[in-house]
Amino acid sequence: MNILFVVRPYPGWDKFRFNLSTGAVEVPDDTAPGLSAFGEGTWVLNPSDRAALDAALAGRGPGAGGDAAAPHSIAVALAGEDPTIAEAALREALARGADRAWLIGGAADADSYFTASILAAVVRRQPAAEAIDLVVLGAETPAGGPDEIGPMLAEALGWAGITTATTLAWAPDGAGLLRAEQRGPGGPRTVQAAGPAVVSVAANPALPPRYAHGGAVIAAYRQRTVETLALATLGLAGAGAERSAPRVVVRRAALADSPPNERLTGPIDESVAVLLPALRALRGTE
Amino acid sequence: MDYTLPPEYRLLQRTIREFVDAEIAPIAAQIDQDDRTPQALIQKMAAAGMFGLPFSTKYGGGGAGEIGYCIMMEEISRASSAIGVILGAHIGIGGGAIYLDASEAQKQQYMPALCRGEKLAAFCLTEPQAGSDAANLRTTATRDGDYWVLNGTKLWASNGSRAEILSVFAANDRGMGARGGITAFIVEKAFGGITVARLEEKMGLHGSDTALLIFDHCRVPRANVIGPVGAGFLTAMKTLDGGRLSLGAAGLGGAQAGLETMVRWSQAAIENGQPIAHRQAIQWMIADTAMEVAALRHMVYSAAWLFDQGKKVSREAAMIKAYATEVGARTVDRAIQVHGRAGLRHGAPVERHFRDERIARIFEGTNEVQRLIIAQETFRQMGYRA
Repeated sequence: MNILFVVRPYPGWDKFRFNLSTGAVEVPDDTAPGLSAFGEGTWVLNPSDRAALDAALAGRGPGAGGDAAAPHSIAVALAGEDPTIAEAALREALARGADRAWLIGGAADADSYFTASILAAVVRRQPAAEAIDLVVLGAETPAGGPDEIGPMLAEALGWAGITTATTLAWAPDGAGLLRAEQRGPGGPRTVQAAGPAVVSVAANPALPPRYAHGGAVIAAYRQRTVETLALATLGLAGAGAERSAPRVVVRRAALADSPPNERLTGPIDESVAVLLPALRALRGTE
Repeated sequence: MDYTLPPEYRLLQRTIREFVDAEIAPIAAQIDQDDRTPQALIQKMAAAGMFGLPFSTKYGGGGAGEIGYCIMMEEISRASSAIGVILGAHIGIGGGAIYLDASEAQKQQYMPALCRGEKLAAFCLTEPQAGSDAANLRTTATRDGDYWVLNGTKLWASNGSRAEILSVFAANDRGMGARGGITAFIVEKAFGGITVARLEEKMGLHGSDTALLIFDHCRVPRANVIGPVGAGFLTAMKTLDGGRLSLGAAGLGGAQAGLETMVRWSQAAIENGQPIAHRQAIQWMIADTAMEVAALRHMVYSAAWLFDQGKKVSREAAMIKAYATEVGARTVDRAIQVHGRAGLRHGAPVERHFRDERIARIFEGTNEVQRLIIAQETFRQMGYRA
């Protein structure tokens, strides 16, 4: 089984602010330089993405064929204007157990939609023998908002999408069957996916903490390699003009297959089963 | 010149701090009260790679070198000096003697288990009559065929009861003393003939066991001699040299913690309607501490950098050991003063740090001995004889 972890950098300073105009992180001028006692001046792994990595590595079990080999994990991040920032998040992912790290260059202004498109291209480019079976990312963005990339990516790939999972495990009774506990408004519930899936993971304080091995931290910088991929290799070169245009289209339409003013009051599963085909049909009329 | 810690060390600092804040700080007071470090904590530290962090990856170590070791000792000692001593005795001196001077075959045999934390190490040099007079050993090593037989008593062996691997120094020829009369051995407790006769009940460092060990016809294979027979005193001194740097880092961690508690307390404690932080007398104590901690930080990490470059750092190590421990003493004393009566309460962190700190000016070579080393090295560097 091959797992793709989406990692995002998070500012590791004790005090910082987001510039809402530019989206940049600004660090106070009085941040201690040099030999700081407070570990400042670093970019770290987004805590939510780290929780996702920990949950997936804690739950990894037999591969799809029922063999005992541990899944192969790849951390991927998009480079902004300063690629060292995303690289720091990748190095930490390597230190915390990822097997490989990929840095996608040329995506400095990517929004959630384009990011999902890039990640879908990353997944699709894999040869069959190294196909990605699971994409995992944190349920919260570095800015603290809900993750949007996971559901968009699941839709782009046509995969199952699970949001706000708190634990991940491979079901012992089914080869490759992924089981997740999901946090929902009605309380926790267990869902499972038979095929490839995109899972966004929420932090779970009940899980035993995982700590980076000191040797792995040093090795992450001195022995491990971060592989760089350009948008051109993903077939996305020249998409700059496209991604700068707004992609939000506001439409008013009625659901063709539902009677007017019908209210769906049954179980959620049944309501979803009615709504999804209608929404897909609506999209087919674009 | 770039004084910024490289990114791998900044990440190391953060990850170790995370471990300390979650696993050590919450139970540090309990460890002190029980005078016992839970084995579960030792296992977690081993799983995090702490026991082999500075050693070469060739032996399963973390490859972090002296800078990484100092970072770890600083972070650990911010929360618990006792846990710092467990690590320091294992890495800096018990394992350090093997890492520095053992043969490649001996390192291949012993270092992997030490790096994984499966077995702890201890350093056995001190005897009742041999403290500062370290060469005046009465523990004897007598050759018997393919074995050396050790008989004697070793005191103040940190990790002495937990450790399974001991670096032991014994007199193969009492008449020759330091020059040819002392041999270093790797001794496994499994060899037999070793009794943990007593665990010291100390003023501080509760949770770090300090043992009196009796060697009674302990048979050690010839293959376990470290370096040439009779060259053990040099091994001991080199090992203690290296250990002093990390001791300085531990002192830095304690002083940093003291500074932080002084700042926080002074901002929270209200007297005459305002925080005592507004008082000049308090500010001066904090300023003096901040200056000393900043100076010490640069001393420790510049010397650690020199050590990792393969440079001799005897004078620097002695300076750091003396300065760090005395900064630590002044810091804990000021911290108690800033806390006032609250700092005297049993169980208060500053009270524990105050008790833990005192040994630092005595062990691994008293500060008086360090001053002798500093003077001699200073004379030598300026071309004079002592």
